[in-house]
Amino acid sequence: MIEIRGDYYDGHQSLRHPVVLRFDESRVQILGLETEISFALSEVNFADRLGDLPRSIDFPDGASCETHDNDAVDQVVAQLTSSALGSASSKKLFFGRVLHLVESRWHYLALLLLITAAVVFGFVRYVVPVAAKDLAAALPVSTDRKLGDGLLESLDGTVMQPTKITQAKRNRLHQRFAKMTAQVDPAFKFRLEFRASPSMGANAIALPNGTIIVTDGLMQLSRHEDEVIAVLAHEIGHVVHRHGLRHAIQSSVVSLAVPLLTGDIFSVATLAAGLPTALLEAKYSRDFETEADQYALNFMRSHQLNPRHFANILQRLSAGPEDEKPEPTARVFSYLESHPETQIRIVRFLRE
Amino acid sequence: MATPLPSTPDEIRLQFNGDGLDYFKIWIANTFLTLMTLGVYSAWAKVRKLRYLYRATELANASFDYHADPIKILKGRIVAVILLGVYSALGMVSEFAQIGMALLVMVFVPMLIVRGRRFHLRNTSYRHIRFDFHGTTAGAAAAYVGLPILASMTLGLLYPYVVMQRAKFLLGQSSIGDNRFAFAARTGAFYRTYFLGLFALAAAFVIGGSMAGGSIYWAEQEETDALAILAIACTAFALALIYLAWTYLQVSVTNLTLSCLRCGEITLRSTLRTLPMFWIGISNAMMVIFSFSLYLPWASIRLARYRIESIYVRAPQGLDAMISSTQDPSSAVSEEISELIGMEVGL
Repeated sequence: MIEIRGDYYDGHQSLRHPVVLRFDESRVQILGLETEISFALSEVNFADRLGDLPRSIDFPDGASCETHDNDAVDQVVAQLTSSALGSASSKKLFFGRVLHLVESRWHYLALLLLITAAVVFGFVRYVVPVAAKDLAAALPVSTDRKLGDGLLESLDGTVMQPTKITQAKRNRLHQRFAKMTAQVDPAFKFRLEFRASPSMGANAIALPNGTIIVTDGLMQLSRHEDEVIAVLAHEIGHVVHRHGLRHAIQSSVVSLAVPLLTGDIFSVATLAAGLPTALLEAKYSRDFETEADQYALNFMRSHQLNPRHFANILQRLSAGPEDEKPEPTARVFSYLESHPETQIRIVRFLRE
Repeated sequence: MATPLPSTPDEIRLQFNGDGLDYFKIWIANTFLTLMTLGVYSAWAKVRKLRYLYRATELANASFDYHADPIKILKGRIVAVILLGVYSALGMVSEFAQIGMALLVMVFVPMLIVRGRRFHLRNTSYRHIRFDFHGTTAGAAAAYVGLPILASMTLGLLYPYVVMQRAKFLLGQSSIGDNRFAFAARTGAFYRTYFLGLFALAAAFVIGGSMAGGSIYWAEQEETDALAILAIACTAFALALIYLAWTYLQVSVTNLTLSCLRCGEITLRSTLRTLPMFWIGISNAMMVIFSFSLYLPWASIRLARYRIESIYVRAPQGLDAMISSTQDPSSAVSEEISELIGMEVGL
C-alpha cells in the first residue's frame, strides 16, 4: 500500500483540498474530502514525470490531484505497468518512465548528446551539401539565372561605378573570356563586366546567372594577363558548379532546421544560436572556393597556362593592396577575420 | 511606465521552479528523439517542453499545467510543412503564384490566430481549471490586418494604439473557467511609453552612431592597431547601447500591458526592470555562442524565471472562487501554422 499527499481539485472550483491518496493493488482511495471516493486504477490517468515538478493524477469524474511526491507516484506506476492492470494506458506509462529514466541518468544523456551532436554535424557537414548538389542538378539552369537576375543592377546602384580600364585591355579579355566559356554548357549565359568599386577593392564576383564582374582594383593588382584569366576561370568554376543555387538551398535548409532543433518559446537566445549557423556558412563557402580553385587549376593545365599565375595573384590579394589606401571600415574589420586557408590554396597551385 | 507600488499583503508573487539542468536533460532527449524520428517527435517534444515550463510556474501553492494532445499538434505541423513546401516550390516556378498563395494565406491569418490561441489556452490549466479564448475572427482581422494598414497610412502614428489593441484582443478576450479577463485600455499611457521608448532608441542611435562613426574616422586618419581596436570597441558599445534602449522599450510595454489586465477583482502587476533584462539578454547570448548552443536551456530558464517572478497577482478575495467550464479543445492545426509563419503569440 502506497500513500501520496497532494492537493485535490474537483475541476469545477479552484478551491484546494489537501488529501491523501491511498493506493492498493487495484484501487485508489481519496481521503480527506467530506465523502470518501475511490476509483479503479485502470480508470486513473498518471501524468508523465518531468524533473521534480509537481504532476497531476486525473480521475474519471474530471477531478484531479496535484502532487510533489514524484517518487511515490513512480512506484505506483511501476506496479501498474508490471501487472496486467490498465493495459490500455500501460504502454504510454512505460514510455513516460523510459523518458524519465533517460533524462535522469547522466551516462544515457551523455550518449544521447554525443549521438545528437554527431548526427547534426554529419547532417550539416555531409548530407546537406550533397543533397543541395543533387537538388541543384535536378533543377534547370534557368533557376540559377533567376537567382542572379537583377543583382548587377542593384550593385550598380550601390557599390559599383563605371570602369576606368582602357577599352583595348577590356577587349582582349572579352575575347579570351568568350573562348573560355565557349566550351561550357551553353545553358549558362556568360557575360564579363568591368566595374570600379572602391568599397570592394581588388575583387571578382560571379553572379549565379553567369555574369562575372571584375573590379578595377583587381586589374591594377594583376601583373600579367594570365593572372586575370586564372581568376576568371575560378569564377566560371563558381557558376558551372552552381554555387549560388547550392548556397541558397543549403542556407534555407539550415535556417529551417536550426530553429526546429533548438526551438524555444523564450527565444532571445535563439538569435545567438544563429552564430554557429554563420560559422557553418563560412565552412560551406570555403568548400565552394576549393571546388572553384580545382576548376581553375584544371582549366589552366588543359590550356598550357602556368598555374603559378593564380598563386601569384592570390598571394597579392591576401597581402592586401600596397599603394592605395583601403576603406577605413574594411581595414578596421579585417582585424576580426583571418584567411588561414589562403596559404593552402596558394600551395596547391605552386605544386604544379 | 507606472512606478511600482509597494507590495501589499494580498499580493502573491508568481514563482518559477524550473531548473536549468532538468530542462537541459529534457531538451537533449527531445532533440535526440526529434532527430531520430526525422521530426515526427517534435510535436511530443513541444508538449513536454511547455509542460515543463508551465508546471514550473507556481502561484499560491498551485502550478499551471499544459495538456495538448501531441497527435493534434503533429497534424498541424504536417499541414504547415506541406503549405510551406508548396509555397517554396511555387517560388521556384512562378513568383506570381507565390504572391497569390501568400495573399490567400493572409486571408486565413485572422482565423488561424483565433483558433491557435483558443487551442493553446484551452490546453492550459491552473488548479485543474482550463483557460479559454473568446476572440472572434473579425476581432483578429481588425487587430492584425485592418489596424496595421491604418497605422502604415498614418506613418506609424497609430502604432502604439495597434499594439494596445492587439494586447486587448489576445489577453482581454481570454478567460479562466467562467471568469473573463478584461483589458482596461490606457491609450494615453501606451503613447507615453512608446514616446519615451522611441526617444531612448533614437538617442542610442545618435550617441552610439556618432561614437562608432567618429572612432572609425579617427582610425582611418591614423592607421594604428590601438585605434582599430578602439573603433571595434566603440562599435560594440554602440550596439549595446541600442540593445539597452530596445530592452527599455520592451520592458516598459510589457509592464504596462500586464497592468491593464484584470480578471474580476484579480489584478496583475509586472515589475520587470531594464538593466537586469539587458544583462540577462547579453550574458545569455554570449553563453549560447561560446557553448555552441548547449547553454540554450539554461538561458531559457533564466529568462523565464526573471520574467515570471517579476509578476505579482493581487487577489483581494483569494484565488478560491473560480468556476470551471467544460469545452473540447479545438484543432492544433492553426496554432502550428501561425507558429511556422512567425506569428506565435506569447501568453
